[in-house]
This record gives sequence, C-alpha cells and structure tokens, in this order.
Amino acid sequence: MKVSILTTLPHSHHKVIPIVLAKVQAGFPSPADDYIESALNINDLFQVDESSTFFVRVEGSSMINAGIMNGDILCVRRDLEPKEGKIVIAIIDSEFTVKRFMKKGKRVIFEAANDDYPSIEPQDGQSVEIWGVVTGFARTFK
Amino acid sequence: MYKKLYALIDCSSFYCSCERAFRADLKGKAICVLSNNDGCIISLTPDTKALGFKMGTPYYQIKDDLAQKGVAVFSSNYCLYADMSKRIVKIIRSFSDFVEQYSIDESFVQFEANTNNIEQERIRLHALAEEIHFTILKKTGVPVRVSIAETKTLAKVGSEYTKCLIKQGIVPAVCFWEHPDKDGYMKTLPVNDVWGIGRQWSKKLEMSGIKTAKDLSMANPDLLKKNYSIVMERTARELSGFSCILFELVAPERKSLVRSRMFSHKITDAKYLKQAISFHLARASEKLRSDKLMATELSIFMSTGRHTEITKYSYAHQTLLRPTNDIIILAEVADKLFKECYVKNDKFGNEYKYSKAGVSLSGFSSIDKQSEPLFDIGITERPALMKILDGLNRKFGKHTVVLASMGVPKKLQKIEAAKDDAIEWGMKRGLMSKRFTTVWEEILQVKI
Repeated sequence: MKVSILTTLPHSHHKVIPIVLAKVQAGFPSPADDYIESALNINDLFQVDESSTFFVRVEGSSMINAGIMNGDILCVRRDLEPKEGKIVIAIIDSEFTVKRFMKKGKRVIFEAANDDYPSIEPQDGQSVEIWGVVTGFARTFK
Repeated sequence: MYKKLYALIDCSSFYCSCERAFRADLKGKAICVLSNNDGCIISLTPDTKALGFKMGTPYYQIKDDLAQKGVAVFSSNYCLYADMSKRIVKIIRSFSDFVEQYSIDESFVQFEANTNNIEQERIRLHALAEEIHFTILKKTGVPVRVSIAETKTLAKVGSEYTKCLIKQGIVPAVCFWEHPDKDGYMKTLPVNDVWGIGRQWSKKLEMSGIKTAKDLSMANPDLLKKNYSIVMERTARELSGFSCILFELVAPERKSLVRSRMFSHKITDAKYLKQAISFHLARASEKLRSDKLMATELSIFMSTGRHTEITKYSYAHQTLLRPTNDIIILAEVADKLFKECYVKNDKFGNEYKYSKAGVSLSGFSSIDKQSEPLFDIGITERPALMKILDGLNRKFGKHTVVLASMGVPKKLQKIEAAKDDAIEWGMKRGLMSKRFTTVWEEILQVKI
C-alpha cells in the first residue's frame, strides 16, 4: 500500500458568515410523484434477514452442477425450515458441509451436485445438524 | 386490571456462544474468552467452570492447564460480539417496542399482564418467554435465558432460577411472576447473588441475619435506607414486587468517552506513545461524530504497569475553547498535552516503561444545539472534511485515511486484523477468531 499526504491544513481560515436563504417555490410538481416506488434492493432478492442471514465462502467443487463454484459466497438463512430439495449448510460429525437436502423414507440424504463426490447418508449414531438454508449465492468479477 | 411486567433476556456466556456459533467442532465443548491483551478470563461456559476455572483468573497462570483439559481459548473479538448483540436486540424489538438494552448481553423488555386471570396469563407469558428463547436461538445460534417478573430485580432472580432449569434439561424460559417455586427459590438464593448487592454489603447483611433474597425482601426498607443506602432500600422493595428501578427506553446521554488499551509490550519511546494516543483519539472522535456530539474537555494519560519497579502515571487535561469533534483540532490539543505530561525517565535516569496510554473526552453537547461563538477565535470546524474522512474509512476499511501522527495506515490495518505485534504498541490477541459478520475477507469458509 502506498501512503500519500493529501494536503496540509492551515491552522485557521477566515470565518465565512452564512447568509439566510429562504426557500422559493418554483416549477410544477413532478407528474411521476404518484408512481414512486422504492428502488430494487439486492437484499430482497436474497431474502436477507438482518438477524439471521450469514455469509459463507465455499471452498471446493462438490456442488458445481448446482452452479456453486469454488470461492462463491453463499447467502444463508439460519431460521428457515430445510425443505426437501433445498441446498443447506449442515454440520455432520462436527464438520461443515454444503449439500442438497433430500429425504428417503425416514432417512435424510445430503446430496452432492457433482458425480465425482459421494452423497452423504448419515447412519444412526452420526450427529447431524442443519446450520442454515442457502437462499442464493454471489460471485463478483474482479 | 393490567400490570406491568419486566422480561430479562440474558445471553449465557455470551462471548463463548458467539464463538461456538461459527465452529462446527465446538458443540458441547468447554470454551473460554480472554480480555484485551489476553489478560484474564472474561467469559466461560458452565463446563469450563466445572473444570475448576474462574472468571477473572489471569491467563498466564492457567494457560497450560486450559490446554491440557482441552478448553478452547479465544482472544476477545468485539467486532463479532457487537454484531451478534445487534442481531439479538433486533429480534427482541420484534416482540415489543419497549426494549432497554442494558448491556452487550442483557436486555429488559416491558410487557403487560392481565391480572384478572393470573393462571391464564402465566401460561401465555411462559409461552412467550419460550418463543423469545427459541427465535433467538434459531436465528443466531445464541442460547438466551428469558425470565419475566414484576420488577427488574425479580427478573434477575428469575434468570438465576433458569440456571436450575438448564441443569434439568428444561428450556431456560420462565414466567417468574406468581411462580409456584418463587418463594422457595428466594429462600435458597444467597443475598450475595442478588442484583446490585456487592460482596461487602452482603457480609454486613448476613451479620444482621439477612442471608437470602427472601430475607432481604421482608426486611424493613426504612431501616435498610438508614443502615445501608437508598440502593439497598430500592433493591428490597423490588424483591418484594414493588417496581422502583426506572425503565430506560433511551440510553442515558453519554457523559464521557474513554479509549485506551494495554500495549502488547512496554514502550519507552515517545514516538510510539504519541502514535498510540493519536490512534485512540481518532477512535474516540469518530465515535463522537457518529453519536452527533461535541466535546469540550480533553484529557490524555499514560502509565507504566503497577507491578514494575519504577511506576509512573501521567495525566494532562485541557478545556477546549469551544465544543468540537474535529480530529485535527483535537489532535493539536493532544499534541500540546503530550508535551506537558510525557516524562522519559525518573531523576536517576531510569527510563519509564509505559504499558498503557489513552484519551478521555467529556463535556458533551449535541451537534444540533451549538450556538455561534461570540468571538472569532480563529478555529474553524471542518464538518465536511470529517464526513469525508469517516466515509472513506467506512467504505474502504478502517485507517484508510489517518492523521500522519498515527503512523502508517498499513500497519494500523494489521492491528485490526489481529496480527500479533504488527505495530509497536498494538494489542496481544493471538487467539482471535475471524470477524465472521463484519469483514468480507473473514467470513466463514466451508469445505464442500
């Protein structure tokens, strides 16, 4: 990083006395006034909830067929119910992973989206916890 | 008839819970968090307590013991804790408009109860307490205790009571108001554990036969006021169900702002001491501007440790000509104060080894309530420049633009990233976790 001195500031300036300005009404009201809506906000698109949304960076390629690539940032809601077919962050045997949440009868399966990676079918006695549901992912072009 | 009730929402071992929320391997594991400079334990989980560790114990005394017993140890990560706290308060506000954030990990909430049908109301409020607990747990991963009672002090007692529930595997949420166990529990709760009673006072109380919360609730308030203080009287009345402690919806106005830290190692050089003071002054003035306040009093101080051979405490203070929050004006005054109070060595020529320095601002007034000065004193505020300065530092990261007196921005950024000893007067926090929720480069990484 380069550091450059922007400017040196003089110790005092002459004081500027403000002039009182009255607001003058002019012009016609905009014909679009009745049509104003709030601008698009990407937080809405990602269903961001200020309390329960967390961002997580992905390392690896087991979800590549779901479009999620190495280095992508996932937007995760901790409070959403994990429904079948949703991509979730789960903790399986004390390790985080990202997989598609599926059900097979009474069992659950964490499905990879890449043929080179096995799906995870937790057995009895294995600890499983769903940490959050992925609501979208972001990738920026540098 | 309606009655006002108070809920206390208290995050158990809050700092530890924040650390656990981002670690898959720490579920059910013992954790503790250390104070600034990895000084001593400031937060610990019940299982760490059960291993024999205590709040406030210096880290160096128990370092090996902690490692041997497998306790996960963290330096304090206030960026993370502050953000998690903000999230939790936001959830609490969705339950009530009447929220008083009491500290980083405790909030009081006001609710109303219909006293015509107490049993039904108790069921409703108990369900509400559980809902608050589960909502916060689900959204943030942080477990909280919830206790509802007729006064703040009783809500605190109820919160202690929920610790017994945890031991029995019951959700720590309770409507303590008209609770069947209330009297029995208060008879077992030592007076020392009542909110606001110090150890000194509890000794005196015990000598006069007031040993439990129940005893105190039945003591004569007038006598307590005479023999102890008005605070003691108030506490007793609160325990008997009569609310005396005000509910503060808006945080009381700030009276002073202190920024200081211990250095990771001792400093003798004036240059580095000055940088540290500049650094703290910049932080304090930024806070002042974000709170829309101006200050009229500025002090700086520096001290050697108390346990060194040669000790020194220096302090200098100045009343400003007019209220300001302009870092450049403040820095000029601080520079003058530094020259006044910095002493390099004692009369025998032994160098003072400083271990702490800081600044204090006070005499606040709101930006909106400033009057034009009677005389031009030749000092011009630069609010626009301050706005740009704060904006740049917010947008491009802390310390992007700094006063040259603070030192080199790149090094300053390293102390924020908790790299040890990056700067001569930085802070020791080698065990800090990532700032998962406030810095893009540090978000949780998951191998998939």
